[in-house]
Amino acid sequence: VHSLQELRRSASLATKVFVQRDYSDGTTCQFQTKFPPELESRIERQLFEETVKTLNGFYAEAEKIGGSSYLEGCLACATAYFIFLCMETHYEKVLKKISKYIQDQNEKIYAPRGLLLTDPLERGMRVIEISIYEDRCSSGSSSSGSSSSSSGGGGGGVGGR
Amino acid sequence: MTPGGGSGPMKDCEYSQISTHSSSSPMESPHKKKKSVPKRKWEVFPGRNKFFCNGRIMMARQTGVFYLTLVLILVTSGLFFAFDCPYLSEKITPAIPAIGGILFFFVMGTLLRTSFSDPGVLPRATPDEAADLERQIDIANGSSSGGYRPPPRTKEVIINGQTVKLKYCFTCKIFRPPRASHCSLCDNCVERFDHHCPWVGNCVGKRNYRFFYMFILSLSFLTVFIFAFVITHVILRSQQTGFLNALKDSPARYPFTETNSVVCFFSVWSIVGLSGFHTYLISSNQTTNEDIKGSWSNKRGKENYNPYSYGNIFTNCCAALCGPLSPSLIDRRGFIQPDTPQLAGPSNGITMYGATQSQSNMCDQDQCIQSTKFVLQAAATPLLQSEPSITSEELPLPGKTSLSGPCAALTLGQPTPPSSMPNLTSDSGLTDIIPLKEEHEGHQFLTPEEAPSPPGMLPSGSPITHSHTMHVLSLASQDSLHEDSVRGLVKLSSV
Repeated sequence: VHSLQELRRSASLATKVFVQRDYSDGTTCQFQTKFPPELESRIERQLFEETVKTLNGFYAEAEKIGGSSYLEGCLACATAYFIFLCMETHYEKVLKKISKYIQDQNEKIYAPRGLLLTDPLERGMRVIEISIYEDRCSSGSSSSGSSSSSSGGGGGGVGGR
Repeated sequence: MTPGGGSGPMKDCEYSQISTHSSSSPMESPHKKKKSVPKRKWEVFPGRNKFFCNGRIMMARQTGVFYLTLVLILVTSGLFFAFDCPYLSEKITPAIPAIGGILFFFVMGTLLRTSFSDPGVLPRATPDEAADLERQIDIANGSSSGGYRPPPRTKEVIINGQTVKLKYCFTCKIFRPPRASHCSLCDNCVERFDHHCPWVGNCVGKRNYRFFYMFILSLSFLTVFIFAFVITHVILRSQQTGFLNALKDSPARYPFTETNSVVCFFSVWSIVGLSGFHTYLISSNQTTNEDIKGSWSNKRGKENYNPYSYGNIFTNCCAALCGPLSPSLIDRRGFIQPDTPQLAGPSNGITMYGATQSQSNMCDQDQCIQSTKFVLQAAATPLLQSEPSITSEELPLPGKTSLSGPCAALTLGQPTPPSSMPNLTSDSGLTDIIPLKEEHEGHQFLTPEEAPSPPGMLPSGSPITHSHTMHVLSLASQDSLHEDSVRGLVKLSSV
């Protein structure tokens, strides 16, 4: 009852798209750059790909094995890892950067298009969750109708088992 | 209109129930008090773990052996410092207790780190994710006729030229990343799962492997150290006073020295052996799991090699021990949000009036929205769904038809080893549902809307957000539910 009224008053979530991990390079954190078809009408392909590529770059930087990470590791080991109680690891620093970047992207690019990125960290680094919101106007409701019917078709398919 | 339950593990349902409450069942009054105190995520963690210090410390359920480990180390070291060190520091050098002290400190530090930290647990999939995966799996498999169990779900990935199969975890509802494995003792998927170690009372995985390795390495040194110096002590004394006299000299110490030696002797072999084994594993960048299964051994085929190895021993070691430490993914001490931080206004509003809510996830709300459209289109349709129990072990509600999990709709048809009911039931058991397969999803989503109707139907105590079960066991209950669903629909349509 109330939820419907709320719904009418504001944008509502139509569906969510999940960009999965790309494991072709091993266990390092990378996401697939394949453009999800559901976003076809909502955002330019290039913008999306750039976001994902930048995120991939960030994660690669966080997991990079090189001089500074060795130093950090050795220092931590020498202190029996007690140093982690007071120091922030390199990875955590990069994660903060990522979080800021995502927020930035949301504000500038995705929210104006009715989309929202969720930080993969909140999803266990498994997916980049993109929430698609529908507008309240008629064009929006038709898109939500189509998305619900498509998901309904999916559900029906499942039920058919 | 009380969405009743949702008590128990569904602790965050409180947030959605704020003003619509009229009744207060005994279940809820204690929760009302807690409403002002937000729950932390560790309190509703679905795995079998124990948490201490308000979520800072995380261990497996069985910690008895860990305490044994602690006692053994403390007692052995304590005896060494108390009885052997005074003599040795006089006779030889005071560096001995100093080094012993450092080693002991290192051992304890790494042990506690290994035991208390998150080994790399993968959080379970949100209902949305699980539903999306289901959809994709169905598309990949093609919709087969109901009643057959779909083939086991695997994805193949090529990593560095080697084909690796990713398995689907039915408990966590995710495709496990490479090298991850599900620990049955802790009921979690753990990244780069090595093994579950009862001695440290925790799994050993990506995040605590280096601590574990440093622990067994330093413990090897410590036991060898203690053993060597205990023997030295006895030898020195016996040189002075004769062997038997040396032992007689300290009658109180005799059993201790002996005990110490015995304990050390056995520990030395096992611990040193274990350290050696793990050194080998690290240098070839394998996990215990992979080694035991022989995943990368040449015996499987000439072309079989380890795709994760960096090629040389040095890099492998450095990567394992000094590589970056990834953060914990489960955010134990975070507070449970009523919904994910989003375009704030709308979702929150919806959550507030959740009404239906026994679920905590925002997706339920969203599904509600979608479902209401279905409802209005579909008029009166039996709500009743026999939904496959994804994790029947998680929901011990036999005989209770619990309507839940809108998102579970799309998990229909997913077979679970433990329960054989699912597809068969939906197809054969309930005839009045079969014609409505097309609108399954809608029906599932109706569930939350049903809240206005009898609370008994609600998943009070169907705690888990993403696993929803309807064990439909009697037609009688179906009828009552049907009735209720119609009532609910009527209410909805009057909006």
